[in-house]
Amino acid sequence: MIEPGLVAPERRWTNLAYTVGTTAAAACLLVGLLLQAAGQPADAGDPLDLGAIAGDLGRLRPWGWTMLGVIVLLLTPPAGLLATFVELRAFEPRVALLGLTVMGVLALAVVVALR
Amino acid sequence: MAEPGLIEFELVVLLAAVGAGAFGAVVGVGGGLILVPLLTGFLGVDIKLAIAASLLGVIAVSTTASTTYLARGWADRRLGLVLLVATASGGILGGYLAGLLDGRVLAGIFSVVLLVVAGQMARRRVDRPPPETLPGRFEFDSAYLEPTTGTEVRYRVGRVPLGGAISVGAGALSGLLGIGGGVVNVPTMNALMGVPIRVATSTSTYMLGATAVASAVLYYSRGEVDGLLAAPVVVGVLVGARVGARLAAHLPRRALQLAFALVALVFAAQMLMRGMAG
Repeated sequence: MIEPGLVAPERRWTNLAYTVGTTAAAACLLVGLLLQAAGQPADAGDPLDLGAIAGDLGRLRPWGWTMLGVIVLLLTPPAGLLATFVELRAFEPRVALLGLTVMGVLALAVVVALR
Repeated sequence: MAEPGLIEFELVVLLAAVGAGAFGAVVGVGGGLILVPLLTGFLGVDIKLAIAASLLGVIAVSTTASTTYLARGWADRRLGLVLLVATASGGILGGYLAGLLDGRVLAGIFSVVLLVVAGQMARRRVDRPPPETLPGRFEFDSAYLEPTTGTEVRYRVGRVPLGGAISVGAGALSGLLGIGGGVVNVPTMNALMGVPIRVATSTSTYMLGATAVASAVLYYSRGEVDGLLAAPVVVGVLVGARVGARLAAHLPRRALQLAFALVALVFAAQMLMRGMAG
């Protein structure tokens, strides 16, 4: 029987990864929006140039902050899958392996994207 | 101050995303089906940029809602991870194909999907009781606590290989059009695999985030992810989904589903004309 509202121990890390990732991403995107509203130049750069994104963060440019939010958001589901593997490997190793398999598929997506 | 036109545009996108997120949460389809036609048809955003931004909104809603669904035991993680292997693979396919297809073709496919969803919304769904026999090789039993009755509901997940095969298509559709994929996942799990509707919708939401990542990285690598468009979309959809989830308990869901079917028909016609006009 599952008690409503109870976070079972084997779900805590996944939920933590999702909560921290989504909150951090939303915060970065919101900062970008506020900087844009404050009149900071909103010139877009190359999304694959991580140096340019980092440079924009220091100069408080909206584009860099929004792209950081995008990157954090893209990393959140994989972080959740990694957390799933860690918390389930002792209780349900086959299900935990499925989480790793999905991470493998996402890694394949990155390889296809960078080709 | 910033350029007034740009700020107004961002505000309109933010409001559109709030509306799409709320409406999507109430009728249970996700915001992408409403957001992409709004961005392209009414705000003149390039369809591939709109799809990429919508995918990011899908990820945000999925990771936010999944914390609740996992905590309450409504999202079946074993089923979700099995099907995720298929939907994420499909997501790569959809994201790759989107790079090859013309925007007009994407608009045409989108209009067909909207028509199918409008038809789905007009139909009612029912849950089936689990069979009395032992689960077969590609089946497994599971259970969840139904909050409206306080009872444990047992169900059997069947036809897993067929469900997985269909899920590849759901992932491809998600990656191709920037929609959640729940329009295929939920009926597949509910009608084909015997999963109760609450578990099907929760598990589908849990799967959407990683599925969308598989295709979003392809859009990102092609330079089709615009952070300045993604920001109001993600923030707006997150706010809208939260508002919609609260409103859902107080609004007539069936009437709203029928209203959505009508809106989907209008958007389908609009996207079709856009696709034909070029």
